[in-house]
Amino acid sequence: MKIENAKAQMRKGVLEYCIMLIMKGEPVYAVDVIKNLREANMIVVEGTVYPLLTRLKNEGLLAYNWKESTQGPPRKYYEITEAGRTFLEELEGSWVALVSAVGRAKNQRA
Amino acid sequence: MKKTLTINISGTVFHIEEEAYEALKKYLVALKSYFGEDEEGKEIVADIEARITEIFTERTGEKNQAITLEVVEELIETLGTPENFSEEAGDEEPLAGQGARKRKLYRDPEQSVLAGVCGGLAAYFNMDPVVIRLIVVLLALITSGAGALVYVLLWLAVPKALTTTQRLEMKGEEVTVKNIERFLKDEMNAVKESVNKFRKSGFFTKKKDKTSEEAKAK
Repeated sequence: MKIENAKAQMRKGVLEYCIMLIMKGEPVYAVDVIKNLREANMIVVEGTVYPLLTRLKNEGLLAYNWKESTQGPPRKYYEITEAGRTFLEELEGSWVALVSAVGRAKNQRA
Repeated sequence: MKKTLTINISGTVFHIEEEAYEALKKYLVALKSYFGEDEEGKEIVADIEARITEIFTERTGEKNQAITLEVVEELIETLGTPENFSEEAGDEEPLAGQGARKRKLYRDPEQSVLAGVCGGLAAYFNMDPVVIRLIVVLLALITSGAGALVYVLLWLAVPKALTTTQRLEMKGEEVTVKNIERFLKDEMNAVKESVNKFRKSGFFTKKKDKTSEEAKAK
């Protein structure tokens, strides 16, 4: 099971990063986020995303508005907040640094 | 022919076959247990229920057909189980998952009639403290008092679980930051609920009635 743990550790922050990236544009519905992540092979099941969205919202990085829907109950449409944008910038910096660090470590092997 | 029940999710009514209902109920209970009873947990479950409503609405269409077990099983596959969530989001273990974990024997200050010995034993063996107390009393009677000696020995030898770490160890939960956070949140919620119950118990309304009577008398 160790490799599963290692992979899970890798995914931990990256999933939130991906979700924030998706939010850059116009307000999105949870299921659109899910579709996006599924196509990118980041997730397999929908339920992974709901707790992450709620957590980000409770931390003030996302906000939502209700929109009526013909297909069922009203939907939450999420968008990124100002605090969220700052957070995203920092994440992007961190990501770039990580990628470069891994790149260097790989090259050092020889 | 199958028995059908009527349920309501997020305000929308559905007809659902009995076995489908059982499966759905089990799933919802698992979700609630995984996400917890705090504000955030309830919000998450509400979101998922809204999504379930959407999916069911799609599947039953205009004709208002009953939801079958097949539909519920597909739903669970699409939404995922708590094990899936923790795997994909990178949590080390399911939020409320328990396995056989190393437990330490402590005296439980929250479950104490005399000294918390039975409470501590109950936590160690994962049993009801009342049952343990009965057993202890019976043993003391059968052994004409020697059992009581054992109790006193335990009282002296077993430490009280005072710190949060000790209390977690007593219940066999792993001492991680997340567990401590959850433990304290649950405690806070329990206190909040007690306070609310106290308020609602009419303690204050009795006073209000008195003052309004006085006002009327004037």
